[in-house]
Amino acid sequence: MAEFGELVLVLGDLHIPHRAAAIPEKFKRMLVPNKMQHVLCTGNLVSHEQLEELKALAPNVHVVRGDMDEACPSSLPASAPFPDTKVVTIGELRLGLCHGHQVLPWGEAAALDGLARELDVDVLITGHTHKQQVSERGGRWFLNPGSISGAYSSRVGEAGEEGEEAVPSFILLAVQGPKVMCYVYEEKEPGAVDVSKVEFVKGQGGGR
Amino acid sequence: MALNIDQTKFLEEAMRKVKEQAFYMKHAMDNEDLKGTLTHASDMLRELRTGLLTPKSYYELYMKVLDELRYVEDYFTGLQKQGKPVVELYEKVQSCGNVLPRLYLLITVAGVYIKSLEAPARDILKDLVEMSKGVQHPMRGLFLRNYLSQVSRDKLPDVGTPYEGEEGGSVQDAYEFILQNFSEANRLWCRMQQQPTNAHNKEKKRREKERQELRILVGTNLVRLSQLQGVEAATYKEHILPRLLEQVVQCKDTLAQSYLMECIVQVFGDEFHIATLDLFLAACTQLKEKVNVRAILEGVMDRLATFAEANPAAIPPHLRTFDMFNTCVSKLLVERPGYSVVEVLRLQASLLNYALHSFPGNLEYLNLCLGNCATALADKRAAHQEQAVIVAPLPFALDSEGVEVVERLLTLPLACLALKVLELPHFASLLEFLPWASRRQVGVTLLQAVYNSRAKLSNLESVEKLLEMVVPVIKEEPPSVLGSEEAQALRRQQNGERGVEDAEEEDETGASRSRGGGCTGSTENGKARRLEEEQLLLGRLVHVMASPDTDMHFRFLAVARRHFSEAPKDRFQYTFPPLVLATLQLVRRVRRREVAAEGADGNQEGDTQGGRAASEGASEQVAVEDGNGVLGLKKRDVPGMQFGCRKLFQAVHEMLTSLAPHFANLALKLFLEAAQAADRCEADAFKLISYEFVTQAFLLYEDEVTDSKTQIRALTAMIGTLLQARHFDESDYDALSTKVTQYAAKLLKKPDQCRMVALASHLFFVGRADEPGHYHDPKRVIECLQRSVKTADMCMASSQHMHLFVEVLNHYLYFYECGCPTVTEKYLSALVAFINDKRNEAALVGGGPAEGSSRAAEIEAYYKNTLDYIRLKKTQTDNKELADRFSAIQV
Repeated sequence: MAEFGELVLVLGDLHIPHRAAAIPEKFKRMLVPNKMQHVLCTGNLVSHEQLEELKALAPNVHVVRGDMDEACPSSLPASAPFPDTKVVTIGELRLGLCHGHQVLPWGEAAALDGLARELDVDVLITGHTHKQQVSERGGRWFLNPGSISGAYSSRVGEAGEEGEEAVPSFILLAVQGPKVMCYVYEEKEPGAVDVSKVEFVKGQGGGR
Repeated sequence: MALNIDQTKFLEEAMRKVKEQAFYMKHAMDNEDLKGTLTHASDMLRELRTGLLTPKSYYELYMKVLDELRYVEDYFTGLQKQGKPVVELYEKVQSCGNVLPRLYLLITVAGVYIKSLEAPARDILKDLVEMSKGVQHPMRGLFLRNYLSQVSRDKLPDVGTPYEGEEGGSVQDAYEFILQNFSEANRLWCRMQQQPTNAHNKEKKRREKERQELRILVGTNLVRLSQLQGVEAATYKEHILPRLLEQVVQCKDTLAQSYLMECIVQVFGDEFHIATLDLFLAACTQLKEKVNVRAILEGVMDRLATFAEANPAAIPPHLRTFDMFNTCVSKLLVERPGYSVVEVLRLQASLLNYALHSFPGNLEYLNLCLGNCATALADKRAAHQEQAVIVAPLPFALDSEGVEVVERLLTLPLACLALKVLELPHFASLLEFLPWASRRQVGVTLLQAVYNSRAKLSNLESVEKLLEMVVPVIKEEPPSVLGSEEAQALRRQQNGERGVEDAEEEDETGASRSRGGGCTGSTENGKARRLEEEQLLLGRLVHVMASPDTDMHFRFLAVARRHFSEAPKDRFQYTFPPLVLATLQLVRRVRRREVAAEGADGNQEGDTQGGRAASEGASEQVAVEDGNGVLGLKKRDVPGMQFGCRKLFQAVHEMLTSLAPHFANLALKLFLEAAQAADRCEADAFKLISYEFVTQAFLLYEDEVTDSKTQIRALTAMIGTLLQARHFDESDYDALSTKVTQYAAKLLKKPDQCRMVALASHLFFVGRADEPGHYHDPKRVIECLQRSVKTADMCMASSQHMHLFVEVLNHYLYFYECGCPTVTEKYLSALVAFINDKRNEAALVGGGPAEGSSRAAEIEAYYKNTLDYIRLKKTQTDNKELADRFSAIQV
């Protein structure tokens, strides 16, 4: 494990059982306890069971509130509701976590830039769009793990067009000091997992 | 107590004598005094003649004596090695006066004799087993025969041993010897109970207990038989098992029959059982009334099931083992009308378990078992009702044991069959006999099994059937036709001693503990949690239903909706969102078909250029009333398709309308989701639907959303939805945006007003000028922003005002970068200067609430990052125009 540094699982928008029955079998088999040190979840768990499952994966589980989480408060801990944003320091990085429905217009780069400035983070992680994304602007990294369950979103794809459904995806980060290896896992076809890799260093753009 | 003290005393005394004689015996051995050795050995063995000891104490004494006999054996072996013919010893010990010591000594010498190969094993063994008949006292005889069995263990003329041969005998002699020793031992064992007593019940029970303790002495013989290398399945079938079974059946002793049948199952190999199943099962039906035949059958079935699972091809299908078991079970049921219904159910459960493991996928067998149970229960119910006419008591209900077995019968096949359960007609009929709570439990297990199997429901009949089976998960138990007292009595009956509530409470605490989670709350909490988990489980069902045909898919959803709608309304929050969202997801596929059909007839209705600008005419076209529900839509048919997008939106509207009175926030959120889905249909025809959904959300906001946190969340979602929309008529969009801005301005708290009005400003500058459907109203943008700044300035008392200023500054920057003409560098420079002043002021005054705190540091960082951003833009070389514009801002 040491050669990877700290492993951080980044996922969100599960929407189980609202929009999906389960996390794909292939992903489930990859997500085993005691491998990752942190779980960062962009929210929309929608049911308590999902939270329990995340808690079983890693000692540090950070969850922010999704828009459907706020609409179904009974499904989640009323005593300690999830916050809108969270900042977590891992290695030498400040990582900001936010579901993203609060940032308007949804998914727009200029708006997310503003949130990254506000949280003063090196990496900003948001969800809501159900489309995975890894990009860099102005020395900051913007990650979106997409929806790990491939949950439906009206905002993914165009109605009337073939094939544009949400693709199940999540991100795994290996953080070592200022360095990050970022792996994006996608299930583009049922049962077939694609992995892509991006490497970056705190405060530096580019790199691949 | 007195008995125990006496026992200790008797045992100690006997042990003392044994030790004493053993001492003299060994002394004689050292002196090479054969006569003296035999005398003392015989005196020592005489202690085993006692009638004072219980089996347990006698066993201790016996073990001690056996230890000493090992010296005797060694001594004899030594003599034999020195050249003394063993036959001399063999004859000499027979002169011993007392029968019990004589036989022990004889067996000991015989062991040496056989081992020396000076005599044929066959003859000696025959001799011994005959002579042992001389001891007819049951307990003494049993131990003596056990000694015989132990000594002869490694001296049988089995295949591959030195004792086998023309003279020594064959494996046949070996098993004949064991069989005879076994039947004598069993006879003695059975006689223990038949001994004359004062017929005291207590005495009988004590004796039964003693017999239990001694059973291993009989069973050992079966173990020996199973260890014979030379015995093959055919021999076992021809010569051994029939003799064993004859002995078992004819002894007519309940304890012996139960124990020995169990032993046979345990000690012999699986192949042997498979080869002799018919014999064994025939014997099962001939056992005494009180023998637990079910347990014996269960034993064989479980054993063979495990074997079959590990060796799938091991049981030849032509043997029809299931039929054999089934015939046996049926015969038992006919011959033993006294069997309780629970016993019948248990037998069937074992049979079902056997079928499940040995013939995975054979639904016919499973259905047969379930059917047998249903028939048995129906008969029982009929009999009950006949009686009820006279006595008029409670309706028929299973007792707690019965419930447990039926639950097991129904749960067992689930893990392996999942959805295939729907193909078992008797599954449902048996389910009916369970009380509601158990049916719910089975339903939950069924759902979990279906999800684990990842199977999909793909035809209407299965969807209907499955939903019907899980009705107890969906609904509360319908009110009983019984009076409340009767119902309570019935429940007590079903739950045994415990009440229903107790039973559930136990269940709950167990569950929360196993989760290891902090839910140690009251029963009420636990119940709520359980309900929630079950309802969410039910909601997942929506994603298990799938059909490539959109009409069929919609029918599935409609069936689910019909069932879910019958639940108590507080459950809608769990089951309706999946239904609504699945319908919206289906819209997309339906729309694809519609677009394809529209394209085919060259219908221009699917025009995506509509946008906010060009709209007249189109709205008239769709507003035609056709009685198609509140959405008032004109129906357009796609050939071969029954349910179009409008129909789906109609269903969504209805579901949300029934959800709204109970869960306003959730309904509001889902109305907005529906609005986005309708807008995404990319056609003018749907903009009215979209508008209707947004309007419903707004109405809910006005009527139901009262606390400020929820208001902010609702407003954010409303603004987000409008920003996403591309197909509203301009006038509609304008009206909706104005309304949201008004809501924002009317919020109770100033900081909330400030933030939300700033967010609302985005409504007036959507898309680039060159994009279709863009909407630019720069005047309104600057109005909103100015208003936000003013409101922020009014929040002086709050520690938030600095943060608010920086937040609004960022909104200014956003529009400046987008090129919104009203947002000029003048405003930006002024706002930066204004914030700088405020900071200086705060620094002078010092000790503001946020000063020096981490919150202040956060705001400082936010502000610094914002200014850094402006500076960065000024130097941006890849966009000269933007760099120039940013350079105009004074920082």
